[in-house]
Amino acid sequence: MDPISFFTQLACLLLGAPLLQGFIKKIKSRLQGKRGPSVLQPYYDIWKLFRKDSVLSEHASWVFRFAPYGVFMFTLTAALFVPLYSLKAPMAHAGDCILVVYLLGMARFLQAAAALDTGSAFGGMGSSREMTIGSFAEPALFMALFAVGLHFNSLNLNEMVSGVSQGGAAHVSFFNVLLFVGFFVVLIAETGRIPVDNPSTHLELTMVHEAMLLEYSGSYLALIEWSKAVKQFMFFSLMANVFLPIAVLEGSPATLSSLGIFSLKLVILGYITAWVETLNAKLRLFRVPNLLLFSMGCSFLAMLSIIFVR
Amino acid sequence: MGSKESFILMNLLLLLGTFSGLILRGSPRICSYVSSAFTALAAVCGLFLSGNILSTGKAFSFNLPGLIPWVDFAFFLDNVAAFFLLIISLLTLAISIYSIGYNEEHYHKRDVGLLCIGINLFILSMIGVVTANSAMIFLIFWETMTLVSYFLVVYEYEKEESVSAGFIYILMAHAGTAFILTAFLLLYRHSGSLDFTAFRTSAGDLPGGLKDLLFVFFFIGFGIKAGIVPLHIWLPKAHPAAPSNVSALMSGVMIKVAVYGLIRMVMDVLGGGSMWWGGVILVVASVSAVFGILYALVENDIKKLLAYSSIENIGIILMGVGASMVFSSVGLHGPALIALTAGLLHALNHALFKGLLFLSAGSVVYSSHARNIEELGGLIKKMPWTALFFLTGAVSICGLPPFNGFVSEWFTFQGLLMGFGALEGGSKVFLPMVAIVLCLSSALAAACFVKAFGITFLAMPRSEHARHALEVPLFMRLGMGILAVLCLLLGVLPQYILGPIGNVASTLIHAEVYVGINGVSSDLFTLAPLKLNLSSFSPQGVFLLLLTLMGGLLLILGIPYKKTVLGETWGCGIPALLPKMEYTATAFSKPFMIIFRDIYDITEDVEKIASPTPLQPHFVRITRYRASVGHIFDRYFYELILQAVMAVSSRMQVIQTGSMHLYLLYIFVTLIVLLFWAR
Repeated sequence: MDPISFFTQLACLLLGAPLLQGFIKKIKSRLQGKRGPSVLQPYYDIWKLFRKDSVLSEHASWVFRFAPYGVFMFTLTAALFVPLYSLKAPMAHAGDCILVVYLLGMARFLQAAAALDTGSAFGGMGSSREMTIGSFAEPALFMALFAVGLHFNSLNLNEMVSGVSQGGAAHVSFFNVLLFVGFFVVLIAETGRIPVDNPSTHLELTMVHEAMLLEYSGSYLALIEWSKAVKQFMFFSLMANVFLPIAVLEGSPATLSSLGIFSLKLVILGYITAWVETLNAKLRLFRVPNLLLFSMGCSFLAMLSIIFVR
Repeated sequence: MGSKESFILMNLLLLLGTFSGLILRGSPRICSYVSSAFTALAAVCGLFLSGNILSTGKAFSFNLPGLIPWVDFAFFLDNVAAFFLLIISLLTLAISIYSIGYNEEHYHKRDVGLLCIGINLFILSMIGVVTANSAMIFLIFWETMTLVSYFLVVYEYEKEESVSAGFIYILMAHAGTAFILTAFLLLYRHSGSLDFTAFRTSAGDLPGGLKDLLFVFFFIGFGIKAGIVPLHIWLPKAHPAAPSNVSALMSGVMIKVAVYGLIRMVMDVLGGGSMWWGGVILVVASVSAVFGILYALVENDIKKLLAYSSIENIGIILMGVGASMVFSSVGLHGPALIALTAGLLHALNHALFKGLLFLSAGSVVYSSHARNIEELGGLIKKMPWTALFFLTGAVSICGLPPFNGFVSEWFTFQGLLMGFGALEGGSKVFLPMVAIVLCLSSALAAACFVKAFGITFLAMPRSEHARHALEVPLFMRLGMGILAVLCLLLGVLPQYILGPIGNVASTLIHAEVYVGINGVSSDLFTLAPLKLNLSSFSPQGVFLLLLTLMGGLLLILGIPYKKTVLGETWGCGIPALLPKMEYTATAFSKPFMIIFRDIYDITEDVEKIASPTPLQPHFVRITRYRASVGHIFDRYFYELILQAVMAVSSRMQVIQTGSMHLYLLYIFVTLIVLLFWAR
């Protein structure tokens, strides 16, 4: 890890994440016939929240206060392992995709535990639903990552991305299409978008992720919203670099063209996500495992195709 | 002090602990203090001894020939035995310190001396099992372990639940011992002696069919004690019924001793076998992992939840062992070493965090006298240390970084995924499938422990029991603290234990293979990475990065204790939130009950009790919801076995006519037949 790439990636994550969030929201609004908030609105929201005071429940303990810091810390650490615009993520050899998934799992654990801390039934409900969806989303995510990793004989994210880059430009093979579909479903589940969860609902009984945040305010809420954006950015980057092998990444230092390609891929994926969100309705909670099992099935078929389709 | 002196001293101290329990029964406080002190000192000796053997690699033999005629007390401590001795000693140290405070609960109700005698004898017998070098000694100590633990399980004999739990336990344990005994007798017939070294040398020319039979018998026998599904039904009954320090010993150590027996017999003595052995172990391990955690998810008794979670972790340990056997059978020693290292490391880690969890659960029960988590809540404010230790244990058991559970799960993933590149044909995907099952069980464990920690410790107290809970005495906190610190240490600095474990693994797979797993530190956040075929991982680097980011956050935002106003939780307009409005444990796991309803044989009952007054007979005043999870193994496995046994017995009843003449005729005919046959 050299300090330049470390701080550049940190800056890109922290500054780029709200932009992606705002962009997807803008596209969704346009698709629904509205003008929508400004693309920079998430920045204004985070800035506003940091300047506000917090009101905390009197039943909450230190777990509630610590959780936003913990979630932010673990999400950011996981995101530092993902190669964004170059073939080298800063934390190249310190961890692999298993570590990344479990760091996100720790963030989820802290968030879910803190949601139970205020004694609110909404928090408990959100916590329960999040852990249910998470217990299927994690194996599905692993399945997709293992399919790619075992194909390129490495679980290290840098090497997975360089393996995909060397595989050549846009070749649509059975393997790639299956993996794209499989991982896209996981992306929807992990970033909490329709059809798994509605990020802009106001009805508590339909919330999954939002219900865990109901009692947070001020800088705590700012940290959690920011972590959510960073996690989303991380998943979109994984999707762009690993599961969308068109227009490969260039070399190891970041060049202007690789930055441009990366941004273009994120824009395309943002459009696809917005379309999927607009065209679908939210699934019943108990149908979500079926969806994630479908994703696991796609990734499993992809894995089989490595062995048998040569 | 050499190995021999420390071995003798350790056993002597445990015997002294037993005798002090016997002699000082009159005054419970002194008895408990003195006996636990002896146990703790013995644990220190054990740590010293095992550290000595593991670091120098010199095996150590100990024989007591003339003690009892025809019984040769042959003990042999190679690095395998030393590793399991390390597990026993670490947990004994923590539990004995904990017991000094915990035994207070039993001072005026029961005989504390018996508890102290039992614990010391239990630990002594487990050390005997792990160090035995002869089938006779092994079985003597194995049987002692079972009997002493039976008496400890029924220690609270006035409770119906304890007595019936003890009965099932001793029944199943003896069934297991019968299988092990049969296997030993078959080996004795083949090799001519009861010594393990004789077994080992003669195992080379065992006929294939006999070897497979031996594997099946050993697997069933040790599996019953370890708690594999479907032979696990005694575990969720016996572990909760025992006093909490005993539960920690049973769940943390005894089931590892069973895994030791399996590994020692199948991998070391029999020398490994065909690939299907590993395959069977992997299948059973996967089923145990998933079913164990599924049943833990819907359990509301905190100790039963932990017992089911032990079944899950035994599954994870056996995944590593099974993968190792699959690799060894085709001669791939490198991956076999990695997989077995994973299994052994998980055995150590599980002992640590399961011991910690049981001790914390014991502290909760000690303060609040309630085992049902639906009656607890808000304990984090009254028992902050216990809550912190339970949280450490919960995070470790879910395999979350930077604690030790993650390191062993990472290794298990690596071992399993190596199967894709190393094996051929259909088995290429089998091992990655097991890895996905591991991931599923780990994700379910996270849900289970969020529930266990959240409902027990957070929010508001749900009953009088929880409202009057107080923090536990110092010694109990010390015992838990030792284990919690070890959990973090082994998560951040695992390389110090990985070397010895690698040596233990290479002894077991009979191959002098060294897989260099220590990579080169390349930069600040990649300190001492563990480098394997598929990927690398630096525990210290990640920990350092986490600390740096946390430090940065605290610097920029300040510690989270400023500029906050306290208010009431939003309750949709109701002025004050009641504990009744909180989320319950049953509600938390209801989505799982619905999704997996085919596995949980659920019976649900909703009862609406109308208003008692005759003026409003149609308004529902009380709604009562009752849901119970059946156990499909009871219904489809044990019921069928029982029915088969009863059917066969009633068929055979025909020969019991009651007529003395017919019985004499039976004896006569049998005699004639035997005389002809033995000719």
